[in-house]
Amino acid sequence: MSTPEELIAQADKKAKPVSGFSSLFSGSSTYRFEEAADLYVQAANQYKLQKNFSSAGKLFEKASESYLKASSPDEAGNILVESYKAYKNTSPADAARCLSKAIEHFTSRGQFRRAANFKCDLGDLYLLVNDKESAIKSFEDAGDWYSSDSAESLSNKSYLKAADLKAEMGNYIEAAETYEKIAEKSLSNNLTKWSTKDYFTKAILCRLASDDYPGAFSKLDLFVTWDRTFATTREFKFLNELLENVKDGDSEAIGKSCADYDQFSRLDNWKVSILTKIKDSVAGGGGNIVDGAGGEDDLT
Amino acid sequence: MSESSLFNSYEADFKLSFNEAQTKLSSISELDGEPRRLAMRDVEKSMDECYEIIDQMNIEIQNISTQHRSTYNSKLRTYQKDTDYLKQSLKKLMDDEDKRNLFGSNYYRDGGVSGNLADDQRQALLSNNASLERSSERLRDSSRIALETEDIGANILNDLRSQREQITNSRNTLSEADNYVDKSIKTIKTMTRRMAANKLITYAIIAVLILLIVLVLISKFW
Repeated sequence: MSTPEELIAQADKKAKPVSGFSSLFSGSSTYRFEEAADLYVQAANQYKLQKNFSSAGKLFEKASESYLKASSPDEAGNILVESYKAYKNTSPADAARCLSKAIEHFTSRGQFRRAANFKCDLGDLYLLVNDKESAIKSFEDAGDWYSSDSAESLSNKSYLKAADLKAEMGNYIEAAETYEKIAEKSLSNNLTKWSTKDYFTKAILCRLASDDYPGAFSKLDLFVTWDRTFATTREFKFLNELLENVKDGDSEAIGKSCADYDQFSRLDNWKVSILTKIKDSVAGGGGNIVDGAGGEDDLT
Repeated sequence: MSESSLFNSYEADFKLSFNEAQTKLSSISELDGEPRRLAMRDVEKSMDECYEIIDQMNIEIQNISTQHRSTYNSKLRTYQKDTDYLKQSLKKLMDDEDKRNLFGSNYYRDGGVSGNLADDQRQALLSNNASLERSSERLRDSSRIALETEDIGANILNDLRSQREQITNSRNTLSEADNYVDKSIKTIKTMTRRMAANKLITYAIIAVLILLIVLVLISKFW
């Protein structure tokens, strides 16, 4: 077996545009580019064997370019996914670049389902490099594409991730609206209606965090009309208490009801941070500043 | 029912020795000095007997058919508990021996018994309280676990739905591919038919040409 360097040299030779007389003997140009891409892929696989992932990724990219020149965008997309896989562990930024290019190819070929799958991966990747804006955008695109492909649950999953991130960024109103949309879509299905109370809770919390008390109140009523069983859940009781406390501006009571709720169902990090935010805003608005650290202690 | 009769005889034996131990134990507090020690030893002896009989019953219980076993098992458990309780009280008496020596028997008995009673009650109350707390703790734990399980269940259902969608999608893709395969088979069939036809036509043309050539040759040399 030849070394990757030799393979690259061969491939480069093949990929060079042939002009004039010799082109008559060397077959059609698409065929040549395909051969070059094949050689690049072989070399890249050898680099992968040597665990030299960044070189492998670069070669996969080159291969995809060759495939593009050979006018087979499907192959180019597939190879770009390979390069994403190679880059994934070593340089997430490059991986994201490759993956978004691949997604472009897939969408241009009308494979939205596949594109959505990769868009989700892309979102995770953006999270890895802490680019939340892009991650939100990716997850929303994925959700749109899934829902256009009548895959409600998958689209809900993507929207949910986007909404969680939005709330983390402090974009509470949009997050709340997304949660409401998801909850409404989940209600009709027997398999997903069990999660609605979680969505309801998150939506209300987001409303409260954006200081929209009347909105939160009316939404809670609306949710009960959507799902009658919600009124009997612990979440409903907790939210009612919370609303009451927010109305009274009693940050101590908020901490207490959170602690009570936490006794039975653990509050995850997301909820803890948003509840802390609510509590702080209540404490700030009420005039008596209660130290935020104490609030966090109560919640965790 | 022979196996249970054996058990019953053991049971009678146990009751006998248990009662003996109990009466002796209650009489200990009346006694003093050497007879007291003797009585204690007696109690210990009958208690050992009790334990022995319990062991025997434990063995015997294996021979009893399973559907009756549970009642005997519960009986056995209460016996065990009673005997343990007896042992505890004896131990307490023994532990108090030093105190008794120190205080002098009269004083200890007078102040001690009433104090002991209150102490016992207090102890019982405390232990009851502790067990209540334990059970409420356990209840809280179980409800928490139940809630967590519910959450997990909801998540699993969600996953199931998305997987269902994935499976449906794959089915659709597969049937699409199936369609394409069918179509290509049809195309290939027409292609083979055309090829055969083409071949035939070619042969026919060749034959006609050869015929013509032959005709030309014949006409030339004739």
